[in-house]
Amino acid sequence: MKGDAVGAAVLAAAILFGAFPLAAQEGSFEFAGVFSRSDAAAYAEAGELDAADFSWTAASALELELRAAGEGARAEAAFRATLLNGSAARALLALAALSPYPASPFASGGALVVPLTSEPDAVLFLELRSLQLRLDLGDARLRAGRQVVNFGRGQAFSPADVFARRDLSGLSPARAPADALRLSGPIGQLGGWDLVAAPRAVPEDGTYAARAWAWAWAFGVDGGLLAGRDGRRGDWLAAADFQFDLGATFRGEALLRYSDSGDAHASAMAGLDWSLGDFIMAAEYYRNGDGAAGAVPLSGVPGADSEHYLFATLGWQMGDFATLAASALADLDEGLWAPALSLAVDATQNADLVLALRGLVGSGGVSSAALAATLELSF
Amino acid sequence: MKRFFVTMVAAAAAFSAFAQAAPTAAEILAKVDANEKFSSIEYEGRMELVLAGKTRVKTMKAVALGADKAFIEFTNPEDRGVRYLKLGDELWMYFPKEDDTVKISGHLLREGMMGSDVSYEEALESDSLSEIYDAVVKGREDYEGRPVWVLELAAKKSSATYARQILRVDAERYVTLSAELYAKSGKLLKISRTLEVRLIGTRWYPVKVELSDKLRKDSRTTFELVSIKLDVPVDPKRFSLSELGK
Repeated sequence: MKGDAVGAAVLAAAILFGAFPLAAQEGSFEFAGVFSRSDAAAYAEAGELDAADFSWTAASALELELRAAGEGARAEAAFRATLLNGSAARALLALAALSPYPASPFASGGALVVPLTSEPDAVLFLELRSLQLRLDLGDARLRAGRQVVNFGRGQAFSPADVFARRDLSGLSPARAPADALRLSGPIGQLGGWDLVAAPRAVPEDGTYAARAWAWAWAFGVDGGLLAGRDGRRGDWLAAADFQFDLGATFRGEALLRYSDSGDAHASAMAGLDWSLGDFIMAAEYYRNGDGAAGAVPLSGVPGADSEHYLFATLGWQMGDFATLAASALADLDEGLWAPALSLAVDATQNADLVLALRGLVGSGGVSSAALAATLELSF
Repeated sequence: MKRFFVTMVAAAAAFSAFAQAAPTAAEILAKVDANEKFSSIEYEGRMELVLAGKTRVKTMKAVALGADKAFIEFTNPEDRGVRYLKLGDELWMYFPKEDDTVKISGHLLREGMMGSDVSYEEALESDSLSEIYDAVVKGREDYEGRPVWVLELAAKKSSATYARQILRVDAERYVTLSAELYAKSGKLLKISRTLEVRLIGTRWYPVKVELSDKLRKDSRTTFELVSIKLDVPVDPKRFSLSELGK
């Protein structure tokens, strides 16, 4: 931990002291952000149906982005502060209370949680989404700091994405950032290479990978190959990904983990998307060969080590300003599925309103559901 | 439609020999085509989408090398950092938050670019008009106070985005002032109107163009060049997939 903290401090200092001289040069300085407010009414099955099954939670969030650019260098930071009220805040505080080392504030899922003691149902959730410096080194480029390293093709499942953990807790799948050093460069106009290192306090425990990718013009296929090492788990990594178009777009990924003890685990994803008039459809299948580590938690429920998952979505462009979408994420082994229905409205310039109904359904019926409204304003 | 994407500079050579004998359709198109060509361009643009009475504004910076290589980055708050790379007939889109590059292909090509009335298919057109269409002069008339040649264009290949076009070309400046775009069935699909023409150097350029999609109710997209630089040095290395995610 001490090593991580020192590393983070050095990185932060490099970016801070790097950014301001850059801004003072001929380059530019940008300030942007997003404010959002979400209110949700939730139901969670707990024995007999009574008032305690229902709860309310709200999130008011402000994400700020700062960018400074100079000749051949850029720095960027993105920070999000979320004030959580209601049941989500209580759940986080309950989680902290279970910790053998209770502290305040405390860390959860890569964020810092600050209980607001004056409000028992309120916590401040602080996330550093991005903090990186980019340097052009001839044709190559170095990116150092917290960043999203996207090596995958899948929308919901992406086993080849060895640095960016998939977050399926929101309405749209998202990639989590990694603290990494990334050196990349071109291979002609249509390809490139990447060397990525995400070291830990003990470097041997870090994750390291090299990837080459290209779009093969003659065949109309995008493809990539990766080789790497996951030191924490003691695995050697080999991955491949591809995408091509035949009217519908087809994509696939495969990851092989070969452990120091000689065990091999293979995971794969296959998917496609296509459209028909105002409808856009996508479907993905994921075969998890990595046990609990590769399992997909449905709606925040800790996953078992299921092998087979499915994701499907159908979007309908209802008009120029509204899109209705239905999606479902299914754990085929456990018989669990998480359906979602959402209506996204382009409310006004730079503002979107999203209404969503989500649930978790098992063999015993609906175990939880939530109806949420979110307003988002970009500036 | 390529004028929307790559150039917005469908300009005509100024001061042509209008007083002489009426030119043929091929000559008119050749002049229009010839004036669209440039070695490079950099511009800042503003796209105003009016849909069912509601207005959305998108802003962008763009650079292009010839008609085959273009790079656009959107700068308005909702789309900040979203980029497009065009290489020949291929198009990629980059989403910065996810570090995600998506090739626009197949069914996606029929969608409107950033919600506008310009489809990705149209944005990818890079052949000159005379390569895609056979043309005949239908007459000469006044159009919004300007003398124009009226041309009827018929697609040489079935793969053309539009089967037929009616163009009104400024008879003095050789700028296309309006275009009616038709489907094979004869149905009017889109109309474009040049709202403002500016003399840049020795060339007249349309700097404000309106496009309306007749299949969408109360829909129009206005594209304006806020600033423009022509034939400036541009590093060809900027037009690569590796640079798209930079």
